[in-house]
Amino acid sequence: MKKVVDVSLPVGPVHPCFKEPLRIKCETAGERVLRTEVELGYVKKGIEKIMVGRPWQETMFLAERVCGICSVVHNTAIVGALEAISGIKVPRRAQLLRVILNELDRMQSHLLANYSYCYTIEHETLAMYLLNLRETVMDAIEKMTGTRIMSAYVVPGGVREDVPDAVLSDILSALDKVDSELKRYVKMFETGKLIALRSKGIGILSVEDAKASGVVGPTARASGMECDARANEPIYSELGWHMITRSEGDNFARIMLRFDELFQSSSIIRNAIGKLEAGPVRLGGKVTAGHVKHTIEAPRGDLTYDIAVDENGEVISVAIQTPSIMNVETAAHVMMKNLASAADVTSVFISADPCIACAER
Amino acid sequence: MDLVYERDLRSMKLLILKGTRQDEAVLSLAGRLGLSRQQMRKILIAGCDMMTLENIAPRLIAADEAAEGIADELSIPHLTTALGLLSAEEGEEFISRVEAGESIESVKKAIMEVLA
Repeated sequence: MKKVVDVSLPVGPVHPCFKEPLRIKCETAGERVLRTEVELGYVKKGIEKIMVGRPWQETMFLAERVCGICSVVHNTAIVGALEAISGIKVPRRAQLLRVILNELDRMQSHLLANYSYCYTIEHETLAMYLLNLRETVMDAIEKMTGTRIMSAYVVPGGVREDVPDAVLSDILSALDKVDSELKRYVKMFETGKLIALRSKGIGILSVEDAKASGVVGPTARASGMECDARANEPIYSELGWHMITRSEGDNFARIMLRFDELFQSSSIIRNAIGKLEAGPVRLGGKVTAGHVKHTIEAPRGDLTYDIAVDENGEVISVAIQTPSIMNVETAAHVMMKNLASAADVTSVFISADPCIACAER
Repeated sequence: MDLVYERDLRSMKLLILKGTRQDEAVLSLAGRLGLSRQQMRKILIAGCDMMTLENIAPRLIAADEAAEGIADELSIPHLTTALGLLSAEEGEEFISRVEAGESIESVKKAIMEVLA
């Protein structure tokens, strides 16, 4: 077998900085990392193959199990695909409730990503502050859906159940807390001298490399690429969404961009709650035969479900393209190539918000 | 140097390439290079790591968009920037051979010899 990388520094599969197992094989010359190779296969679930031949009602729950961190968006994506195939309409109130839940999901995911980064660069105080703040968002999700993850809240034709006004005001209180505390934490990150040493100018991803590797989401936007699937959803523009980009393309830019998006998500949720009007949250509909490629913006970037369903509602084929596939690959092969210090391998990798469960599906 | 603690990843790499989107990408690249699906899989399994194989579809789409002229005919962006099967210098050398008057077919044959 041809050898791609002459391994001189294996990182993982079990590593204190990794939330999930994967092995990065680094070829080094002294401190410099020349190139890397990634070894997967530690959390392969084979969900795409399990879905084939099953009715859509079951695949909806299976989709959520691709990833525990962003289960809401997998639920929304597969249901959106089924609705696109069958021409099922979603009532206005349910559309707004979906936006609220998806933005809460984005907030907890971004907070977890930035916590992981701060933990990796050994700023444990800020890491714990951020993880604590994430709990506020997780509590809001639990109040809204009844559970922290895998809530199966989004169903074809709407959402599972309505949200009472008391819960909406609890969500607004949670956002107030997040907004006020996050300002202080962002300042800590922005002005921290040691943070800058570990983050500024490290793991640079140029816009050319970003385009060549198909990188998506905050990782791409931090390199100046304007790509966000929310641009194709009119409801987001109506709620005040706009593209946020940065040009530096380093670790610092990726983390700061997620902080900026946290404030934006909070603002979108507030606007959505402000626009909620009484009405149905679930209309009827029948899933029909068809094939569609449906893309939405997950916390880590474009999530695509390429799904074909027969007339009985059984899945004929499905391909899930998660953002982590592109982002993990780019982090390992582009950002880490010719990295000046092997000590930065983990921080560069974590700055791209890798999700191995998503990458392996 | 053979490292005794390295696992043989070929069967897992083949599983990745059997995925719907990956298989479409393999067939499209095999069609460009005039190879069979199995020959293409063998080259990719030998030359790419697991993560590149997972990400093969977006990378080849980006290469399709970037490719033009002789480089497109020889699939140089696909084999260099996208998959790393050839170095950038090797890619440039093959292009300059065509520019110097060598036929596309004979250069493609030379590329296949390097890949094999």
